[in-house]
Amino acid sequence: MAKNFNNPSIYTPKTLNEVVSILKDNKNIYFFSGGTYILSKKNNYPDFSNKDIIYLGDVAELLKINHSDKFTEFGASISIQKMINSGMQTLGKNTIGALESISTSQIRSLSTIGGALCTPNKRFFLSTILSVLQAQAEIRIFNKKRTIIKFIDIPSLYDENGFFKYTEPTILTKIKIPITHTKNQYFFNLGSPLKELESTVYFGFNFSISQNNIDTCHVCISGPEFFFTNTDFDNVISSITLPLTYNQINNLLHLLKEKISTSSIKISNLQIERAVRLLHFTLKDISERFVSGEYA
Amino acid sequence: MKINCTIDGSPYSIIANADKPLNIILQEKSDTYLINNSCLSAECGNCLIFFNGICLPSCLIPAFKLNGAIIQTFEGYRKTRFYHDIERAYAELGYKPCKQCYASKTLLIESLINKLDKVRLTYSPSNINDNNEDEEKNLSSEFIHNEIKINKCKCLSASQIDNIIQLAYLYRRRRSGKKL
Repeated sequence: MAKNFNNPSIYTPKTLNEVVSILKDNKNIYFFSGGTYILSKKNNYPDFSNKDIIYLGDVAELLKINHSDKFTEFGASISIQKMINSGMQTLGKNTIGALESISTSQIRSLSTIGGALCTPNKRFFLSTILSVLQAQAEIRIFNKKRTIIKFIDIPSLYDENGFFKYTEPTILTKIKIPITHTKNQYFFNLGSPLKELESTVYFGFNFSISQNNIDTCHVCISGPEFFFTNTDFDNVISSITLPLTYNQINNLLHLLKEKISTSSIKISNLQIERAVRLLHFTLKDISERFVSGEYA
Repeated sequence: MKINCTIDGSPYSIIANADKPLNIILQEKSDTYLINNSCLSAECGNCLIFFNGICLPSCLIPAFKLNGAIIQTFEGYRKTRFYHDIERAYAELGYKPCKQCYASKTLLIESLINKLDKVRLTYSPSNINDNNEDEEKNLSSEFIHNEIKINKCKCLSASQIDNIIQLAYLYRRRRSGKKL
């Protein structure tokens, strides 16, 4: 044990430039933000990979919150609990409720936005929430020669199996959430991402209504090991007139099943069934609310 | 790496690996430390401590975050007068946590009492409808249910914990001579 077991060096950069210079000098290194996923893995200590650690919790650029009329920006090292506290006015009741359903306040005060979005091989509820809210992430990719900075949509961060796409050293620096109509969102979080890999489902549905039609709609269904968004399916729902009939709802459920089964994602039958039933509940609830005049 | 921190009011200087979790450090450090590390991976919630005043599972805090931190374990907490309020509430109500989770659940209840105190301090009747006045003055059962999820032991229900919180809070306010 003693032979392969060393004390990892810990780097605590204060600026992003310091992060860049550390990454240039060290290849065998991993990012540490909140640490809730890294430390909750079985046998996390002692670590025999001999990797050094960059702690991103002290980087000033990653701790900024910026509110404007059109969007809210959160730095990647901000904890989910702080995001809830500072986004009470701008994010809306449904989104705050969804964020509060992520674990307990103790864990939320440790886990960070960047950590939840950039875990290489596992997806958490936060990515589904931000995906349907049309949030964008600013990422910095560190090549050998230069640093590339770009804003991308949340679904573009992942492949179909929920893996974080970027293999080169990449830092997610901030997320930008547009301020939209805050009532028209549905979020469901069923199961535990760490224990129930084959039954956990996250569901997000965001829409806007103009006159009698659903104007724009974004649906995201994901789990710890898959991530499903489909523009065609979003477009089909976006052109629908309210209230929905029983047949229309049924057709949409069949269409969702078909889209999931034709995609190459690894999803269990239970997860498909849960996703379909959550969509059924959502569409039915929208219709009922429309008939009762809530969207007038 | 060398770490300087305060554990239960005493300054400590520890040499540990940078990625070593706090629960293992605490177990090695102290012979009287009341902690059950049954899972070592944030599943059981039996290793709660107060870290800079916030109730957190110690297995999720790595050694490099400890420099300058103030840590209070159950061992230190039980010597404070706050513990006696909760202890009295256990005795009065006739139920208490099992041996396995006693330390963690007591610290969790203490953190919930602090939250209840904050809720009542920030409560302003002018902003609230008459219907949900009682709800606004208390922690909702949904909130308590969600908070106690961190400890997986099922020896106490959410309503029983709520009763303990209310009674211990009452004792605390009486002792400090403040009105409810």
